[in-house]
Amino acid sequence: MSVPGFDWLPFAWKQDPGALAFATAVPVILLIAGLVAPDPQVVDLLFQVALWAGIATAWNIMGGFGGQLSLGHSAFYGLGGYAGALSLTGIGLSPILGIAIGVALAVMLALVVGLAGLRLRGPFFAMVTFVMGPAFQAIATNWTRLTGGSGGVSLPLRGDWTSLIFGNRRIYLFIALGLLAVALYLACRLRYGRTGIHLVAAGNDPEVASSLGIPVLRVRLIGIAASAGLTALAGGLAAFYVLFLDPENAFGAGISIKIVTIAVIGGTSSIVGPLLGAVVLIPIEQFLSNTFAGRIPGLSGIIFGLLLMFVVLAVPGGMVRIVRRVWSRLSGRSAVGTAARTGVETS
Amino acid sequence: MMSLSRRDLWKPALGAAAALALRIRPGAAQQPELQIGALYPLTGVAASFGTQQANGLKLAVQFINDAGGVKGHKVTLEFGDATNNATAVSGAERLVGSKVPLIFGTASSGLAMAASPVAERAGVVYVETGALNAALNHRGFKFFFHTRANNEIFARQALAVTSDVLASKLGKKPEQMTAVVLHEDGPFGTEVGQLMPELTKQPGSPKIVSVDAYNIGQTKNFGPLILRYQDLKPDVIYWAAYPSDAILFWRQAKQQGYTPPSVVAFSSGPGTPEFLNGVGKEDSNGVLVLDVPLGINPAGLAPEAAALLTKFENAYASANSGQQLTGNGMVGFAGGWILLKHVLPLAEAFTPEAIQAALHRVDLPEGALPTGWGVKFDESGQNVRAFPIGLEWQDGALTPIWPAKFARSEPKYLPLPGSK
Amino acid sequence: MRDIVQLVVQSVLLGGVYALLSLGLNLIFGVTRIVIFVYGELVMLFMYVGFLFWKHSGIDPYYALPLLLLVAVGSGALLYDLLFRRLVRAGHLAQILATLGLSYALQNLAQLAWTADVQSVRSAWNGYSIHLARGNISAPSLIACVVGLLAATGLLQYLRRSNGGLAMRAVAQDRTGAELVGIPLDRIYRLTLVLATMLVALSATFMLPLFSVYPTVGLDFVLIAFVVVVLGGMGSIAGGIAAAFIISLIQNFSGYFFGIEWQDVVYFAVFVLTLLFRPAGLAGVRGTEQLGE
Repeated sequence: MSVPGFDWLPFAWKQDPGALAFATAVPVILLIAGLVAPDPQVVDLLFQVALWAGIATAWNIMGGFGGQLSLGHSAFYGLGGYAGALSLTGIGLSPILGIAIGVALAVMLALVVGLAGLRLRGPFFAMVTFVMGPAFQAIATNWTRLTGGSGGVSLPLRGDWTSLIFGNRRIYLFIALGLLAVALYLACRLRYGRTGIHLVAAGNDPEVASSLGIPVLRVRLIGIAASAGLTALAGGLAAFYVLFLDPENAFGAGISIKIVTIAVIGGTSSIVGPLLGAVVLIPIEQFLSNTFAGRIPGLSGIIFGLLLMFVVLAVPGGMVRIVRRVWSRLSGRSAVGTAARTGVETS
Repeated sequence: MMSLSRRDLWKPALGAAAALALRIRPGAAQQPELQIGALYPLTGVAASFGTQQANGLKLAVQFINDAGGVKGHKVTLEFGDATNNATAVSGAERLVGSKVPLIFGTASSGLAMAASPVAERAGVVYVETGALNAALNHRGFKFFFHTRANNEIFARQALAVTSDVLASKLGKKPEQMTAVVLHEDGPFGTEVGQLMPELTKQPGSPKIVSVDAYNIGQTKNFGPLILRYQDLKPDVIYWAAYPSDAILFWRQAKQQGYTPPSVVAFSSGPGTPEFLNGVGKEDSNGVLVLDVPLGINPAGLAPEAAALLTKFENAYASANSGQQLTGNGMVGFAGGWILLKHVLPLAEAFTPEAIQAALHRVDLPEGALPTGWGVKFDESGQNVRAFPIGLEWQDGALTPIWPAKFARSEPKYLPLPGSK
Repeated sequence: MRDIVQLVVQSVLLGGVYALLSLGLNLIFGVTRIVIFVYGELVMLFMYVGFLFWKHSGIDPYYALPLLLLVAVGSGALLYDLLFRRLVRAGHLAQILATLGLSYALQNLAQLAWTADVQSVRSAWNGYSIHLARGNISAPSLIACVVGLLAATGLLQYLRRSNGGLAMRAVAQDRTGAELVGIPLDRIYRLTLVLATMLVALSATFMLPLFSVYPTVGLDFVLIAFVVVVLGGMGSIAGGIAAAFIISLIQNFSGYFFGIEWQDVVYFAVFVLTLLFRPAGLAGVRGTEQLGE
C-alpha cells in the first residue's frame, strides 16, 4: 500500500508496532472517554492530557530527535495564546486567524533559534532557550498598551465557533485530540521517514549525517518549525479554554519545564514517550494537588520534584524504556534483540 | 408488647458500629452537611497571603458550626490549592465538579482572574475574599462577588486620607502636594498605577509626578529609583508592594538617607508583620497603610460585632500557634462570616441561584462586621460598604488613625521622622 | 553629577554582591560542566540556616559564618556523593531536569518547614552607614562587597597556587587530558563541590542582612548568578567578577535614566546578546561553547 504521506508506515510497523498501537489507541480512548464522561472535571483532565501530550510530542520533534534541547517552548506557546486572544479583544478578528499569525511568529522565532543553535551546543543552547520564556514574559508585562500588562487579557465567556469560545468543553478536548494526532503524525513521519532513519543511523551526529548526504540543517529547521508551530497552536487553544491569559500563564518558565518533564519522563527516544508521559504524569499531578491541598501544602511539590529527579537519574530512557523491558521480558525475547530492532537509543 | 425482631436490632447495632468506626457522636452523625469550595494559594509565591486568608475562613466556619451550622447544616470546606494560574483553573474545575454551590477564593488578583471564569461558566457563585483588583468586577459576571473593598475604593480612600490627614500634617493644601506611585508590576500593583493618575485628575488632588513599576522577584536594587525620588522630593508615595519588595525598598531608602514626608500603602506588603521585622520598629514609624480594619476602636462597631472581634482575635492566635493576626486573616474571616452568617441563612435553598439572590438582598449597615464594614453588593458584585481604614505604624504596632470613629490614636509620626 | 557619583558607588557595591553570589556557580560550572538549576535553592537554604541561627540565639547573623561553613563542608560532600556524582556522567538534559526537580522539591520543603513568610534579620550593622556628600553607603552592602572581592581573590589564588586548585583548572580545561595524566576526577569533583558550597555559605551569610529570605527567593538569585557566569565566561573567576560589575553598572544606570522597570529588561538583553555573539563570555575560552561538553 502506498498512501501518500504514509509511506513511512510499513517501516514503522516493523520497527515498533507497540508504539504505533499505543499512538493510535490512546487518542481513541481519550475521545471515547470524552464523549461518555459526565463529569466536567473528568473532561478537564482528559483535555489537559491531550493538550500536554500534543505539546510534549511536538517538543520531542525538536528536542528528542532533533537533539536541540529547548527549555523555552513557552515562548511559542504564549505567542499562540496572545496572538489569538489579542486578535479577538483588540481588533475583533477571529482568533483562528490570530492564532495562525501566532503560529507564523512562532515559526519565525524558531528558525532564528535554530540558526543560533548551529553555533551553540549543549548547555549554552539550552540556556538561550531558557531565557526565551521569561524574556517574552517581561515584554508582555511591560508592553501594557499591547498586551494589557500583567492584568492580562480576559476573553468573553460566550461566543461562537468563529471566536473559538465553546460552551461545551468537550469541543476543546476534540480539538486538542486533533492537535495530538497531527503532532503524532509529524513525529512519525520525521522519525520513520527516510531522513529520520538516516539521522538515527548516523547516531544523531551532524557531522556523520551530513557526510552521508543528509541535509542536516534543513531537516533540523523543519523539525524546529513544526515543533514551534504545533506548540503555538496548542497555546492558542489553551488560552481559549481558560478564557484568561496573563504573561506568567502564557510565557512562564514553569510551562517550558512542564513540557520537558513530561517528554523526558515519558521517554524521548520514542514518538509515544511524551504521550505516555502525559497520560501518567498529568493525572498524578492532579491527584497529588487535590489530595494534599489544604492539609499539607507543599507536600505534592516535594513528591513531584523528587520523583522527577529520581526518574531522570535512575531511568534515563524514561518510562518507555521500562515498558520495553517489561514487555520483552514478558514476551520472552531478549532485551538486546529488542534494542536492536527499535534503533539506536538516543538519550 | 412487640418482641424485637432481628431487623430492629440491626439499626442501632449498625449505628453504633458506624459511630465507633467514624468516632462521631450519634447525634452529630445525622447532621446534614453543606460543602463549600475554598480555592487559595497554599503553596507558591502567594502562599503566605493564601494560607492566612484560608485560616481566617476556617475560623469563620468553625464559629458557625459551633453555633449549630447554617440552617442546621454543618459547613465543610473543600480546599483547592491555587499555586499558579494553571492549578487555579484546574482547582476551580474540580470544585465545580464536586457540585459545591459556592467557592471562596483567591487572595491574589491574577489567580482570581484565572479561576473565577470557571465558576461563572458553570453558574457557581464565586466569592472573592482578598484580591484587590477592580477589574474583577468589570467583567459582567453575574456570579462573582467581592466581599472586600477593591482597588477603586482603596484609591478613593487614599486621596481622602491625603486631604484629611496628610495635607494638614505636611502644612500644604492637597493640590499643592506632589506624589509618586510606586508599584509592583503584577495585576494588583499595575491597577493601582493606573487608578491613581486617573483619580488625581479631579481638582483638589495632589499632582502625580512619576509612576514607577518594578518586578518583584528580579528587582533587588532600588538604588536608582531612590536617587530619582531624592531629586523629585515628592510629598507622598502611593505604594503598592508585597512584603519582600516593600522591605527591600524601605531598607535601601533608609540606608541611602532618603525618607519621604509621607507614605500611603495600599494594604499588602507594608502592612505585614514581615515588614515590621524587616525594617525594624524605628524605621517603620509613620508609614501609613490603608488596610483591613484590624484592631480598631470597637466604639465604631455594633456590640455583637465588637464581641465577635475579640472572640476571633483570640481564636486565631490559639488556632495558628501564635502566628500574628494580619489583615489577610481578617478578610478571610470577614468574607466567610458575611456568607455564612448573613447571606446563606437568607437563601431559599443552597443552590447558586438562590445564594446569588440572597447576596443581592443582604443589607447591613456599617459597623455590623468586626471589620467595621457593612454589607451591600452592587450590580457588579462589589461590596460597596467595605472599606479600608488608615493605620499608622507606631512603635511596632499598626494603629488605626483614620477615619476618626475607628481611630485609636492621632497620627504620631507625620511627617515621617528623618524626612527633610 | 552627584547622582552619577552615587550611581557608580552603588554599582560597585552591588557588583561585589553579585560577584560573591556567583562564585560558587562559576566554580561548579567551570570544573564539572554541570548545569545546576538548584544553585539558588542552595543559597536559600543557607540563608534560612543563618536566619534560624540569628532567631534562636540572638547573636548577630554575621557570626553564623563558622557554623554555616561547617555545614557547607558536610553538605557539599554529601551533595556530591548522593547526587552530583551521578550528574557528571548523565547528559545535559538529565542534569537540568534533575536539578530542576530538586529545586522545586526544596522550595516546597522550605515552605513546609518555615512557612511562606518573608523572613529578615537585623544585624547590628544594619544601622550603620558611611555618609557621602550625597547619600550613604550602607555598612552591610560594603561588607558584602568587600567579602566578595576578598573571596574572589582568595579563590583565584587557590586556583593558581595550590595543588587542588591546579588540578581543578586542569580538569576545567580538558577533562580527558586531566584524567590521562592521572588526576583523580572523582576527588577533584568532590573538592569542587565542597569548595563551592562553602562559597554559597559565605554569600548567604553576607547577603542575609541585605535581602530577606523566603522559599522562592532562590529563583531570583539563580537568574542573576547565571547571567554573571555566562557573561564572564563559564569557569573564569576573573571574568565573573568583571561581569558582575558590568551588569551592576548597566542595571543601575539604565534604572536611573530610563526607569526602574528597565533594569530587568537589561538582564535578558545582556544574556541573550552574550550567548548569541560571544557565548564563551568575556574571558571564557573561545570555542568551549562548541564542544558543549
